[in-house]
Parts: sequence; structure tokens; C-alpha cells
Amino acid sequence: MENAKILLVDDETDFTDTMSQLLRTRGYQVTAVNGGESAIKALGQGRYDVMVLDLKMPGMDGMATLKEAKKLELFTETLILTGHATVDTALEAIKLGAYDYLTKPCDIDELVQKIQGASKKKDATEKQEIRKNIDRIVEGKGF
Amino acid sequence: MATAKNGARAPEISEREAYYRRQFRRFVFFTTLSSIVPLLIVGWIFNYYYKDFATARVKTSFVTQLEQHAKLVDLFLQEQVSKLELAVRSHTKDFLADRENLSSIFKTINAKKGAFNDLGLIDGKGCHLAYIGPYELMDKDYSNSFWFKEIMTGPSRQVYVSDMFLGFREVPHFIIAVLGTDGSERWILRATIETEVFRRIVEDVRVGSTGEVFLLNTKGVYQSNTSQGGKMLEMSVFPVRPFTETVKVEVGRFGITGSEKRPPMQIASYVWLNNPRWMLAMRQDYSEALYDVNHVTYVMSAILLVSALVIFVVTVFVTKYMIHAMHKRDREVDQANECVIQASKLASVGELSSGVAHEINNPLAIINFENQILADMEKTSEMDSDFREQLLKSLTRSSNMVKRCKRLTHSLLKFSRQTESVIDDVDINSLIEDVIPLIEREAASSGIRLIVEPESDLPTILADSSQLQQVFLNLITNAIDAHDGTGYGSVRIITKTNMNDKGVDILISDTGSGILPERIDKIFDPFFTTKPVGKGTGLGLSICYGIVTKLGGQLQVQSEVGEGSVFTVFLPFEPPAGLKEVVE
Repeated sequence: MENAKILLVDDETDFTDTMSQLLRTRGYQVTAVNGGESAIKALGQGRYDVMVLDLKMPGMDGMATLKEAKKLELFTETLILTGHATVDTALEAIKLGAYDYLTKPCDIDELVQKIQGASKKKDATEKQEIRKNIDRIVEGKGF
Repeated sequence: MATAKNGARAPEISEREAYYRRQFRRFVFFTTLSSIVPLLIVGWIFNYYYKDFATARVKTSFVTQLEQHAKLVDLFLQEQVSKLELAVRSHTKDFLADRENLSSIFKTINAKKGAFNDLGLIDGKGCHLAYIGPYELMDKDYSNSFWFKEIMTGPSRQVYVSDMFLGFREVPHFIIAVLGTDGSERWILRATIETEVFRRIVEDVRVGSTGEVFLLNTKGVYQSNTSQGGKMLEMSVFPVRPFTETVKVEVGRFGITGSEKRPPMQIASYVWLNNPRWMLAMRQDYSEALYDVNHVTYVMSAILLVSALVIFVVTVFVTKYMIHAMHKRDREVDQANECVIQASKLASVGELSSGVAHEINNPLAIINFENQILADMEKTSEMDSDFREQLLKSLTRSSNMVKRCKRLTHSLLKFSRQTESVIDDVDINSLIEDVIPLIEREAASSGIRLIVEPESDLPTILADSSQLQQVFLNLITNAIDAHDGTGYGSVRIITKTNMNDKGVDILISDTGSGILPERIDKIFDPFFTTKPVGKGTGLGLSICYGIVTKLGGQLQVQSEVGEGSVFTVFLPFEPPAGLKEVVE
């Protein structure tokens, strides 16, 4: 749990640097990318427990990134962290499958709490999925 | 007491007033002109034709009257002539020369009317053969008399009727002479007509007070007296008109006997008698003859004048009313314009705030996290105790400033998002009940009593409940803050139905410090605040104002320094149509 892998997506390098440092000191493995395209690429290449995603970015924005990520059918949970929060965007993001929603600037403890929640959920979903698969395999082999 | 009603006053009031006065004069002038002129034209046309018609009638009546009178005079003369002719034709000279016989005939012909004054039989030399009458005329010689010559030597005439003349008696009279013949002998039966009898017949017509009837001979000498001063045998000022057997009418200034003044306009009719050749004339002052016509004209002029006056007065009143309505409407337009200006001010600030807030949030997040890094490091690093103390103090202050900025940016974002409304049935009383717990603690800690006085059967309205929650939260918080930490006071929230404007009124009154009159017009402007730096963003009231006006309501304030303020929120039963459609 402490070693949860986090993908940080934000167009502002200063922000990703600072946040990476903070999260790393709290034991997370953090990868930071500066855009939606890079995020999708990173998701395709490695396994991440939680993606912390900004909404307003040049090129592929947060919502589009979230949609693309969902298409990859990964277990990675997404946490939206944005400076431009509205009830509508929050609702839309949740509908698209985001785990939760936070507005900048936020408290690190609150963020960590949400990351943990997301990570737990991801683990639970993954375990559930594995169990389902095992069940299927077992049933298929005729045990 | 200072009041603010949706912003500034309408500019250029004196210019407006001058414009209204100009419009007033213009309306009155043109309306009066366009209604009175046609009225006068119609009146004039009517009068013109009526006068024409009435004048024609007066003329006709002059003709008819004179025609009848001429017949009467003519008949009288013919009757007298016929009597004498009958005497001449039915008797011989010798018979008539007998005074007894002549007297008997005189009595017979004079029996009815007494029209004859005397009767004489005159021989061919002009001497009386017999005479019956009151005068001593037996020895008079008529051989040189104009009438004797006329009948004896003139063209063969059997009957001669003379003009008026004085004769031997020096009394105006006229005679009828009938020529009689016995073989070659010629004689004349002559009779004098009783002037008084004849005058009565001629003058027995009343033609108003200025009218008269008279006879003129061919030379213009009066053959009768006139009621206006003309004397028999005097020369008449009335001109002799050409011979006519039918009655003619003329209008002109014919002159008055014995008057040197400018003669009045008169209407006159005349006709010539056959024997004698006298002109019977009748005349009257035109003004008297047309008295009825003139009377109608006067009455009509008076009616026109009164109508014109009434039109003018009504026009003035109607115009005054219209200008008043215009004034009122303009004031409403001004108010609406002020609302639009206020709204557009809010909209532009909204756009700006949205961008600014977002741009500031990112750096704020970085500062926040950097603080956190330092705070993390402080826990694990070795450092001087003074430095540690200063670091912690700085970090706390820095963190507080971030929180303050965050409050500001979030307010800005809320402000910029006022365009989105979700309209539903809202029970204002229960909405306020929901809001109260959020601020109860703050009020209690400030020593402020919250008093809610809801109207029990307040109708529900169509509005956005979450936006309204924000409005009331804001207004009540402001009301608590208005007490400046005095530690006592109250905030009263009253709801009531406003049937006049079809909506509900929510009054939030406080016992706080009040608002200075010079500030009251600015309190709905964005970023205007009287709170200490860092306590308020200056957006609260402008957000409230934006929400309330967008829902079709009004936010007003009345305040007295030292006494407190009353914020009145009016919300209509239904929001404006546009807003409703967007939401549905």
C-alpha cells in the first residue's frame, strides 16, 4: 500500500515537481508527465495504482485523458485535482469513472487520504477481478 | 434614512424636464390645431350655406309680400276706375250734369269704402257742369290742368289716373278722369281719391321696425308717406328702378330720407304698377331682415368657441396625463438600464474572475505543497531552535495566506458561475430554516440573537434553491458582522407574501452599525467591502445581487447609521420566462 504507484498528470512542471517530492517522502512511487498524451502513453507502458489528473491542460485535456484511460481497461483509479472546479465538471468526471475530486490548492493530508482511498479501491477491484478470473479458470477446468 | 435602489440615478434630469415641457407644448399645439381647425372649417361651411339659404328665403318672402301688396293696390285703383267707367258708359252727359243724379251716383260708388273725395263732370272746355264734394270747385277752370290736357289732347286715352299733386286746394291728392263721349261732344267724369283711404291701403304693411312700403312715380317723387320719414310729393332718395312687371329684389345702400349718415345696408323689392305708372317698393334694413340668420350665426359661433375651449382644456389634461405616463415609463426604463449596467458590470467581472481564479489556484497549490515540504523537513532536520521557531511561524503565516487566497479564488469562481440556475419549487421558510444552523454558532459566539418570523402560509416560489441559500447565508452573515463584535444585538428575518408584485418579500434586518449614505450606492458593486482586509472579499453582496436580479427579483437596502440596516429581498412567484426556458 505504501508503495502505491502514482501517475501525476499536470501541465505545470513546478507543480508536478513539488508534489512528486511531497508524495515520495510519504513513500509513494511517483511518475510525473506534462500532458494527456504522455499520460496515456505512460499508462500503456507501466502499471499505476492511482492517476492524479489535472483538468485544464493544453492539447488533450483532463476529461479526454480520462476517457482514453478508461478505454485501456486498466485498474488504475483516477483522482481529479484541478484549479477550476465546478459542480458540473465534478459530476461529469465522476460519471466518467473518476474516483474523486479535489480542488487546488488542497491540503496534503486530504490528498493523501484520497490517494489511499483510491489505491484501496483499485486493489479491491483488482482482487475481485482476479478472483473472478480464477473462478472462471477453475470452472473451465472442471474442478 | 439612506436608501439604494439598484444603482445610480438617471442623468440629465433638467434636460429631461425641458424635453417633457417641449413635448407638452408640441402635443397641445398640434392636437388643438388638428381638432379645432376642422371644427372651424365645418362651422364656417355650415354657416356659409345656411346664410345663403336663409338670405334666399328672406328675398323670396320680400318678393311674395310685395307681389301680394301690389295686387291689393292695383285692385283698389282698378276698382275705382271701373266704378267711374261704369258711370260714364251707362249714363249720358246730360243725365250726369244733373246734380241730383251725380250725387246719387257719387253716393253709390262711394258707399262701401268712401274712396272718393269728390266727383265732378267737366265739359270739353274744362268747366264744371256738375260737382259733388266738400270743396267750392264749381267755378274752377281745368282747361290748363295737366290731366285735362293729357286726356283731351293726348293720345286717345279713355282713363287717366294722375300722379299726386297739390291742385287748387294745395292738398296732395290724385284724380281719376274718365273720358265720356256723346257723339262728337267730349266730357270728363273726374273724381278725387280720398288720400287717407289710399294711404291706408298703400302703407298698411308692417315690415319690421326699419321697414317701409312706398310708391314712387317715374320721376322718383313719393306718392305716399313712408313710415321712415318720407313725405308725399317729396323727392325720394330711393332710386327709380327700371320698369318691370315682376317683382325684383336688390340689396344695397339706398339711402334714408333726411339722414346724412352712411346709409345702412338694405334689402329692397320693387314692382311697377300699370296705371298709374307708379313703382311700389318695400325696403328694410338688411341686418333686421336677416336677424334670425345672424342670431343663428351668433349662437353657432358661441357653440364653436365653447367647443374649441373644451377641446383645448381636454387636450391640455390628456397631454398632461400622457406626459406623466411617459415620465413614469422613462423612469422605469432608466431603472431597467441601471440594472442592465449593473448586470453587465457583474458579467465582465465574472469572466475576468474565472480566468484569474484558475491561474492563481495553481501557484497557490504549489506554494501550499512547498510549505508542506518545508514542514516535513522541519520534523526531521536538525536546526537552531530560534530558526525552527521562525520557520514554523513563517510556515503557519504562509499557510494562512494561502487559505485566504483560496477563499478569494473560490468566491470569484462562485461569482463567475452565477449563470447556471436550477429552477424548482422553493419553500423560502424551510430554506431559511436550513441555512440557520450553518450560522447559529457564529451568531451565538458574537452574542447576536437570530429571530425568524416566517409567514405561516407563505406560498412556494419557482427559483434556484442552492443559489438562494447562498444569498441568505451571505445576507445573514453580513447582518451578524454588521454588529462589529459589540457582543449583543439581533438579526431578524421576516418572510411575507407580496401580492402587489406577485412574489415574496424576505426582510433581513439587523441592529448593527448601519451603512454610511455615501457608501450605500456602492455596496452592490463587486469588490466593494467595508470589512477589514482579509475578512471579506467584497463579492458577497454583488453575488447576491446578481442571483436575485437573475431570478427576476430585487435586492434593496435601507440603512441608518447607528440604527442598523434592512435588506429586502423580493422574489417573484415565477422567474423570468427566459430563465425558465433555459432550465426546462
